[in-house]
Amino acid sequence: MTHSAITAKKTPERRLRAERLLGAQPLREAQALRFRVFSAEYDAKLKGAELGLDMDDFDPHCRHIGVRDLSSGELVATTRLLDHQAAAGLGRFYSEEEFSLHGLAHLEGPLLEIGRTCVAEGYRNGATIAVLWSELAEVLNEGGYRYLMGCASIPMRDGGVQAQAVMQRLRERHLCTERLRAEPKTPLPSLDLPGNVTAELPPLLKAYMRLGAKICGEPCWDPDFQVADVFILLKRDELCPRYARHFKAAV
Amino acid sequence: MKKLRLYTRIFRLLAVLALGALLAGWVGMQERLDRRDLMPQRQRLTRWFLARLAAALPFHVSLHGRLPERPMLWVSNHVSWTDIPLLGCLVPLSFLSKAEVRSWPLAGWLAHRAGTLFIRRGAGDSGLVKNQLLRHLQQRRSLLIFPEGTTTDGRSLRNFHSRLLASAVEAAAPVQPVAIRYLRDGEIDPIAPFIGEDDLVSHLLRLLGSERSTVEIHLLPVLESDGLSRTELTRRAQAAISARLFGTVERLPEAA
Repeated sequence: MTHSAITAKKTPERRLRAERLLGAQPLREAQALRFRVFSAEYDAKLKGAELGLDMDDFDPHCRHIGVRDLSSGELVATTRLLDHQAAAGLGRFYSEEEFSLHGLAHLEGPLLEIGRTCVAEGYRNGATIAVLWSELAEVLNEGGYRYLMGCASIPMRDGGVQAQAVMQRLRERHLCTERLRAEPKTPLPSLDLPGNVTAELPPLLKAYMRLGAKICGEPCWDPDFQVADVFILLKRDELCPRYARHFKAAV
Repeated sequence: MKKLRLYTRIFRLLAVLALGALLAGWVGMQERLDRRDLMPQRQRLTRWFLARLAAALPFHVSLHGRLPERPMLWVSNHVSWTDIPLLGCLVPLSFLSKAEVRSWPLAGWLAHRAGTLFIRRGAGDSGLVKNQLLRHLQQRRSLLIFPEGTTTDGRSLRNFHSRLLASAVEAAAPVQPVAIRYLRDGEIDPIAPFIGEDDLVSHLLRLLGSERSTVEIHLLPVLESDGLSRTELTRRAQAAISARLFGTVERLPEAA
């Protein structure tokens, strides 16, 4: 997985199109892509593994969107969206499996949760994310959502040094617990890293921060995926205008 | 104000060194009592100590790339003695150093206690050193070498000594190339490099007396050594580091 900054390099022959994944078959495709990415790269223990799928109880309640490479017909990116109404029906948001969300009830306005985003290897660049986000922006607009929340992961297979170093950067610039405070159910194991060491953000996290998202607390340790999950909140009114164009008509 | 900052920094550094000396003494004593090989413990304690030391230096460190998840031979360009705490605080590592360092007051003793391997240049003990490096890697312990053999001012890269990488080929150990760059106000830092006739104390005073600067540590894609000759492995490591530091590939070593 590349850790270089997100650049808007476009391969000319590649044609990517965003789409909503409606119905059983497209959902299977999304679950298969998630399985490929998560099991191969994160070595994660997944429900549905015997079918070559990554599936859970949230899937039927979410809207799934994706990016397709038109030249091959393959689905190359996917994410799923759970809105406050569906979450109310389920009794919880997906993030609440990892975090206690203090202040969630006081957050005004419709809320959309994004999760289980993955991009196929070979497509991990700004172009793919921009296409995915253009679709996300439409969903946000249509539903008049004021907030987007979710988690972004930092790999932990190095024992946690990178995660700590990334956190030292995030805490400096992007921490805001005013509206919402996310308390991790499993905090990271403590690690002695000098306070003056910070690390470059992983691509997706960096993209969120550029949009103006905030982190709402310390990360949650996910030993199955060997990652640290950081809870993020994006207020639509506060989208950073410079990067919002990636988000198309979101503002 | 600047004087006060300098004194605070010196005081903090001395406290860290005193702590290191205590730790080193304690490990040494344990080893004499136990007669066991405490290298893993030494590597862990060394990392902890180097983390304290790195924190006491006036740098802001920015990590790029991903830390390896398995033991490797780390290969880095070399600018200053501060490379050692800055890299050594990231993962448990052992080091290879030139023999002169062993005689430096305190620092030499600490390096020795941390399990550093010392190499005498031109003394014909390169075979011996290779075997020591090999043993280290075969025991799946990470090791850091500076294959330029000496420091530069950060504006160039010397030819890598491929002999030092022979151990990786023989142990089939992967190589982690590292490019380290010191920047001050966006330019190559003239204060951080520890070169030529510099002495440790005056360099340290100069460093501690100056503003905090930035160090970029670039962890470049890992090189698998399987099936490569040591010269080819060396060439690739050097090319990768050079490309990251200068954006170009410097003159590559002739077959050494």
